[in-house]
Amino acid sequence: MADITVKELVKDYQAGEVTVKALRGVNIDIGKGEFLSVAGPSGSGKTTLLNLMGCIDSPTGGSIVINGSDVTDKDENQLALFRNKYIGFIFQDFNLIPVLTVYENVQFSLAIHPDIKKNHREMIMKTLQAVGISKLEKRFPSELSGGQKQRVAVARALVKKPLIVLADEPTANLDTDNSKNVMDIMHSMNKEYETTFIFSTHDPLVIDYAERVIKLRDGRVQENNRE
Amino acid sequence: MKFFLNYAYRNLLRRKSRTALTLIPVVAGTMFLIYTISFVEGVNQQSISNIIKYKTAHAKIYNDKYRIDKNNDNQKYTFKTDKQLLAYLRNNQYIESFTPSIRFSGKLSDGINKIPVIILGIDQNSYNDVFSTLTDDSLMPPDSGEVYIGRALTSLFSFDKGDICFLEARTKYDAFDALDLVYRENISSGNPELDRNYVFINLNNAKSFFESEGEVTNIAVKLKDKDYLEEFSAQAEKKLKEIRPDLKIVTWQEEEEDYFAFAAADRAGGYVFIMIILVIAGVGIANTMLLSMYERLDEIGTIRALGSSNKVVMKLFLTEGGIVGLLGGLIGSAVGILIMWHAAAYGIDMSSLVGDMDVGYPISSVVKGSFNLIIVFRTVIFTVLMAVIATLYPAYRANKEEIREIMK
Repeated sequence: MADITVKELVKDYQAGEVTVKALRGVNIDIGKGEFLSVAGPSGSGKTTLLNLMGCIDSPTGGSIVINGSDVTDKDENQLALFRNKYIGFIFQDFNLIPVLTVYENVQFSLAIHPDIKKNHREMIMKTLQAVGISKLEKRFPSELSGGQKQRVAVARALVKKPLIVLADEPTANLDTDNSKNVMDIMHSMNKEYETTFIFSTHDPLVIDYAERVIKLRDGRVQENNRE
Repeated sequence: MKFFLNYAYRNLLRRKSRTALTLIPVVAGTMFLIYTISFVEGVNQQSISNIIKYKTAHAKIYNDKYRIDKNNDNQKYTFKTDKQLLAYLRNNQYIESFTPSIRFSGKLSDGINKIPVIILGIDQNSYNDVFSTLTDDSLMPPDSGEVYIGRALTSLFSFDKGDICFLEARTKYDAFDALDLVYRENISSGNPELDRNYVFINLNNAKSFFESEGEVTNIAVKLKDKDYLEEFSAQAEKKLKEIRPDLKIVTWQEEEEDYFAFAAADRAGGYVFIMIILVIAGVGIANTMLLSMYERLDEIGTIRALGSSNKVVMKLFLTEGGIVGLLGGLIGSAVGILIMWHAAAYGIDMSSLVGDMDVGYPISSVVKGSFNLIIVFRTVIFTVLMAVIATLYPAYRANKEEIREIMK
């Protein structure tokens, strides 16, 4: 059974009097542990698709079933709980909390988790070691390079062991070396934990790393390649 | 919780000057609240003390027909002080001292001007054991024609020691009577009601002047401890029914109901004023938190995307508000304690503020605040609650924003 099933997904936005059709009937099945890239030009609907799969936006039509549960039926609090338990996010601009240290930024994911109450320190340090920044645990985001910040974001997404990690243009603000490092880390995590990774990108490097690429154009699936 | 406390605390340190500006009205409000409560409590305690020390004692025995209603012609209701009654009072385990007196209305005159006054016939010896009104150590000789007159009255007539003055009054039988007296001393008791309206004459003089045939209008009772009042009152009521059914016991609280009503209304007025200051402080906190929320929309979007429920976002904001309230409350309390200590130690001289003006409280001397740390504790709790309530709206707004929109 697929980890994520997207059926006839439609999303319209209202921009003044104009209705923007961001997604026009998208159908995708994504299996457990896939390392997948959603590619396409700007305005093709990549971020919208990720937002909908990440339960931070609601569709105009269609359905999204994640881990057997139709997320389009859930209310705001249920969606927050669902994101908390099953979904990790990595953002283009890192979105670290500036007043918290590296350690605390990762701790945030566990502090709000309803089920993980013990061994926080052990889990955090293990994850920080896995992404290679355990020595930076006491630093604040302002004291880190872009690559280090994105590793913190990866650690924050992975520390709670989610089913799915959604990464919106994860290398957009990184140089090539840092982009490779971050992609290597995510790839090894994907293999180690069987976490499903879904990226939205137009970075060829990220697309090269992906085991499967879904290309969007004008809100529709143009290509759905399996390696 | 420790994690969120730390997070909230650091958020407040992000904009130190803005947080400091928000704290100012909270500190001021807390300080004023502590000072006002301390002062009002002090005034209340001192008023009660003055009422007991100078006017009512702990309780009085009256004729059963006596009514607290001031419109009643109570001065008709005199009673005999027989041996059985005096023996009961003398041997009572709760009573420290007691004094009989006659109280009736009349007019004081210097031969030209007349002013309505209350005439109190006292047995000065026992009166001084019950009341602190007369500070003159030497007693009026029995059956002397001397009179003590309230300070304010004395100044109206410009009496000097040895001057002759006149009292006019209707007797118990409604006959018209007059009495020549020699001015002895003024009364500056600290209870403005006495200083403005009362003249004190010897009990025997008063009995014959009022034609009371040896009877008195009341016996004032001072207890060994004010906490005995309830037990004494119950016991005396029972005993009087048995030995003197024509008499009744009236406690100082019953006699001064008007004061309690006035004090409660005045206190409420004072607290409303302070509440307004605290509401302004609350609006300041709400405004700061709202600004902070709009500045951190991206961060709020992130923490909500990561799976924070509405409760978590609410907890984060309310914790920030609570810290502002706690800090403001603690700083305000520190200053408030100093002011409260000063008010309790030195007080305010009411006579220099209001002179002989009637401000409703039976105090005309120095009013001291009450030094009570429970006031501080309650004020800090109240300030924290106010700050938390003020943060509810910004927290609600933070939860209402669309994650997708605020993370653009």
